[in-house]
Amino acid sequence: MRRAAFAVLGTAIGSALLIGAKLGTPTAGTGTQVALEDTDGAAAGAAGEGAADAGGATSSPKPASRDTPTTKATTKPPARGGLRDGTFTGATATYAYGSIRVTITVTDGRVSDVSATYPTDNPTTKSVNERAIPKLRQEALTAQSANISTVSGASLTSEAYQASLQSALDRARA
Amino acid sequence: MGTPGLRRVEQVMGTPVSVHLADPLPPRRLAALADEVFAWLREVDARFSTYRPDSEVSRFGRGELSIEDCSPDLRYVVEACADLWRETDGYFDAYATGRFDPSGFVKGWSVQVASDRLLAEGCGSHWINAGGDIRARGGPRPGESWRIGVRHPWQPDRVCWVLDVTDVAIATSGTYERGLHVIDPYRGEPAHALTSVTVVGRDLGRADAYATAGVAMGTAGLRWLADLPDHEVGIVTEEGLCYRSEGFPALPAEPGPRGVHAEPSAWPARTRPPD
Repeated sequence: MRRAAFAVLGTAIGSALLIGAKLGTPTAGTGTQVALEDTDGAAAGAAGEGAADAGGATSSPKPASRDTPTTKATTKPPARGGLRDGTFTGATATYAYGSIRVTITVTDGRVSDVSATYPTDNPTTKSVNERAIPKLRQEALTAQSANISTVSGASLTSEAYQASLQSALDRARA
Repeated sequence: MGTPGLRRVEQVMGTPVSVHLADPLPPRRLAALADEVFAWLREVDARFSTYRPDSEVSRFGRGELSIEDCSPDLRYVVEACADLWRETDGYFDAYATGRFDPSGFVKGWSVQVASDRLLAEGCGSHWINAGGDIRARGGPRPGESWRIGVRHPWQPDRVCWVLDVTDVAIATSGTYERGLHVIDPYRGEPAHALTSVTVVGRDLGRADAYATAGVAMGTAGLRWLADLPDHEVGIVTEEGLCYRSEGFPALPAEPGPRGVHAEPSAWPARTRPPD
């Protein structure tokens, strides 16, 4: 499991409650089925139930020590945001393109950081051919994990992401 | 994190929005500025949501509201969408679904407005990241620039470029996160040739629209993006080729363990950069 070096991923504070309902209704053709995997049984609430209906099989078995959702909260009472301060990791959610696991950091009752890990990834192998375009420099694709502030990318709207995030938020509220 | 300032993440407009304010202002002031950013984005969400039948944009879409009766904000959005439709040869189309849906422009535009307001209120070092589209200004500390990654399409926890920037709008569209969802309006089928398109400019609404249009154009988008005036582009094709314009603010790939070339065995030597 590799930890994302960035925290572009966000969180659902208000609208997160809608997510559980979405999970039970797989959308045709776009690979939105999600299965939540959670070894401590305390997770996910409504999101977990929906996931069981939608996905059935939980995939990507992992060593329990790695996949046990973690909660590292302080004893401070919930602040005005309604969340306990600390670090909360959601359940692993699997979907058509892989799996994802979201960790949130709560400071003063509000989410100050979100990161995701991707327990399984299948780098797509692509054939390569040459194509020269005027004005553009062609180069090889590199994969870096550099020290960065934030990340630009196509919108993260996958139900798997939302489901894992929701279970992390549930832990912060518990 | 080691970086001074305030960080906050909230879900708005159906996407996670992260805000980092880096100016050395009192914590209470920074919190108030962050509150203003999210209050504005939630206001935009309510007024421009096509999911809410009573929103201003829905009423305009149904013809219940004439352009003269629209708020200045909605008028600006309607006109910008018309401009972008022309500039992109119709590939950015707010009427693609059969009714007016400016969502593809509104997210970037609203973040741009939030960033402009922060600057006007004395917070000139910040970034706002709305679901992967970013407006950044200043840097983490005086004299420093932001280092912003562009996500690697096939390795979600890696980046394929690191951009060194101080005052930019960065928008990325792609086919990798939601599958093939960008439709080529002329062929009526999903575009797939360009896996990831990043556009760097000054206005996030425009940059986002150009990136989406580039993806929709498919292979033809390479030339169109290369010719965009006043914008820099970085593109990854479905074959795993990268293209970038001369002024694209990417740092050289870091050597050693922190900068690993992707799947060396899969890439013929001629496509790898000189070491």
